[in-house]
Amino acid sequence: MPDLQVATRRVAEVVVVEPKGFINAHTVAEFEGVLNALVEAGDVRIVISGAHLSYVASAGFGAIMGLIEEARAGGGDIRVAALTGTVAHIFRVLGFDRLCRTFETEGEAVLSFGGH
Amino acid sequence: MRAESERRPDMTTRAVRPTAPEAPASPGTRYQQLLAEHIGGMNPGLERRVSELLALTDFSAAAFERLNAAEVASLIVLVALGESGARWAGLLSPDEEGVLRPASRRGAGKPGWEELQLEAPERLPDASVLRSGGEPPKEDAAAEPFRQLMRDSEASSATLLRTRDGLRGVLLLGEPHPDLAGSQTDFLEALSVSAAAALEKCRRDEELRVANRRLSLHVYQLRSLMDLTAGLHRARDEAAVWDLLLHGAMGHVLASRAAVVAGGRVVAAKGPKRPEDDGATLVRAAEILAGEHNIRPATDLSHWATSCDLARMEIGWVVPFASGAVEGTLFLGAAGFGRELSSADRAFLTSLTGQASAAVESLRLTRASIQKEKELEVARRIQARFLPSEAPAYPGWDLWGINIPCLSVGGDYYDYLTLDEAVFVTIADVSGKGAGPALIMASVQASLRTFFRHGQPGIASAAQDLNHHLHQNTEDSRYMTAILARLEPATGRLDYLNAGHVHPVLVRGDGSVERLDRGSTVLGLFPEIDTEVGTCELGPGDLVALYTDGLSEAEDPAGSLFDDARIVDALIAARSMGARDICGDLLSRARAFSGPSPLRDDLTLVVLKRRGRQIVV
Repeated sequence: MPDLQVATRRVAEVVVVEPKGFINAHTVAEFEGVLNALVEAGDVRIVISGAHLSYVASAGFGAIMGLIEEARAGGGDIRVAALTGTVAHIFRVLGFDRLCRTFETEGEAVLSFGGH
Repeated sequence: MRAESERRPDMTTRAVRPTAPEAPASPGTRYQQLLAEHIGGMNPGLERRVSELLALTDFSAAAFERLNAAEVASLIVLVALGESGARWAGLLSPDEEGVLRPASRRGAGKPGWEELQLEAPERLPDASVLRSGGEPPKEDAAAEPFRQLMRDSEASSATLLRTRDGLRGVLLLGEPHPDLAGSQTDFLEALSVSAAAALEKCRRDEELRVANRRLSLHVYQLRSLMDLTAGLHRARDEAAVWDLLLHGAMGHVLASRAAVVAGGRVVAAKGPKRPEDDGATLVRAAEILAGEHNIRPATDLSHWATSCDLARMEIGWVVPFASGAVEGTLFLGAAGFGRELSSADRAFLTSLTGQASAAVESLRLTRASIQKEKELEVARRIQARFLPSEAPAYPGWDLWGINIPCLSVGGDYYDYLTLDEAVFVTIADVSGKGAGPALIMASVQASLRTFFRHGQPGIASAAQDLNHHLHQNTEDSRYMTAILARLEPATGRLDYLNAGHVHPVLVRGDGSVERLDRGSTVLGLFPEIDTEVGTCELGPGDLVALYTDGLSEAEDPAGSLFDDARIVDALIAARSMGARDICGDLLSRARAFSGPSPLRDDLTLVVLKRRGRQIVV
């Protein structure tokens, strides 16, 4: 069982990225690779669903920060949904929820992109 | 509850309603309810006191259930307003710097309330409740700031909410309803104690929350640093190290842009793509900061035009770093939501960049060592290929040679070239170690073989030729020492030329010793050399030992050398043995002498032994 598996789904014009497991120094390159490929392809409306995320080390936040401006510049955004337990706590403690919009559920996050 | 009633018979005459089935769970609330039921019909003074008492217990019970300072402030104001009958009530409480600022207000509004503020005075007045009006101003000066506050807010009273730790708030009340003047002061004094305690509890709760949050953050950051450190040292190449450094740094300060410059170029960058010339700006800024170790805000480079460019690129912080030969600079966009870097952030970044540069250095050293190991392996194979696999055999003669390479490849060489009537024996040592000398040896062997095979048997001209070849084709400081010898097995005549080499030893069958010292200087250092060929006769039982300084300079742990005198003694003692045994004997003596110290140089030894008569016959 690898430390991290990253699935992606398309919901309307939004891509839901669903990392499962741990985002840390060992796996961050893979996580960034998925986000990077989306942004490069112009899929800039991204929701990261945290439902199956066990842990995010600071390198993982670095990967999001490195692409969020590019996504916004392209008319999209990287938003976060369905955080639970430790991960939700880390987001609050770091103040990451002030830089990146977070939602209770994946559905709310997808709808937040409106009718684009 | 029944027992309580029985002890107070005067109260039992009142209509006490039985406890309702849905009675509140809290005993405090039940008690309040009970008291409230008795208020009607008391004398007005007692009734008022009981009402105040109820308000205080109610306040205390509620205030200590709440954690939020704003809610507690609001409750204090409501209780004061309700019991005092003032037209308005307001509370100021200290902010983080200790300045009293409006926290809550109810009742008739007054413009300017939100702007009120008071630097909490060092000394507080003795009285807890200050009133405006006809009192003579005989009280202490410490009351004056609060009186000014009352004048500014048009309050009729100011109640100081204080604990042993200091002032927790000031409760201001507007003009009271005329009928209700009188007992307010006592009530306010009582309220001030409970209210101050409640506010103090809120303050401590908040401090605890902040401390917990900070602790939680530090634990997280420490875990992240450990995670990053492990990741950096596992990285397979430099690009992976720099990428991880950027991820770690950006994730820590929540910056959306970062780059690393090392070795005069941008080795990694993240965040929105930027024009090419931005790279040149980063490199220039890194050059300006080369050799520094302080983390600096980008604006700190204000002496250089670079700072404007960095501002345009939204670079907030510059982090120079170094580990051994790896130097670089990390550029970070402004930290998330514009916060400053704390000392803990700086320590994190210093540690992270240090780990990254150490990881890169370690990758480079590993690569260099693999490269070197490969080179040595090639050199060893070259050397092994041109050493003779066996000695030539001649009737009445016993020839043997050994070569023990030390860990690093040296430049020892020996060879036999057999022609019709003679055997040419060469032993040589090229200066230096590694692949260079080994390749020179290969070319020396080739040129000697060419030379002798083309029918020029003179060893003097062979030495001249070799000198010329080496002088022309190797770097200036490279040279070779050698013995070139020509042995006629039929007659026992040995012609030799000693080109700066350790003197070979001739041991006669009777134990007498001669040194073979005729020849020239070393080969390859000078364009021309003078040569002299020495000649000697080897009779039955005589032997000549040729060796390199790997033998004569074998060292014992104390640093003494296995010198020529020991070699000569050993050869004399071993002279009746065969050539192979003599070689083995000397090698084991040299090894016993050096003990645990490894050989520092290649060791080569060739023995030419003419068998004694009794063996020949």
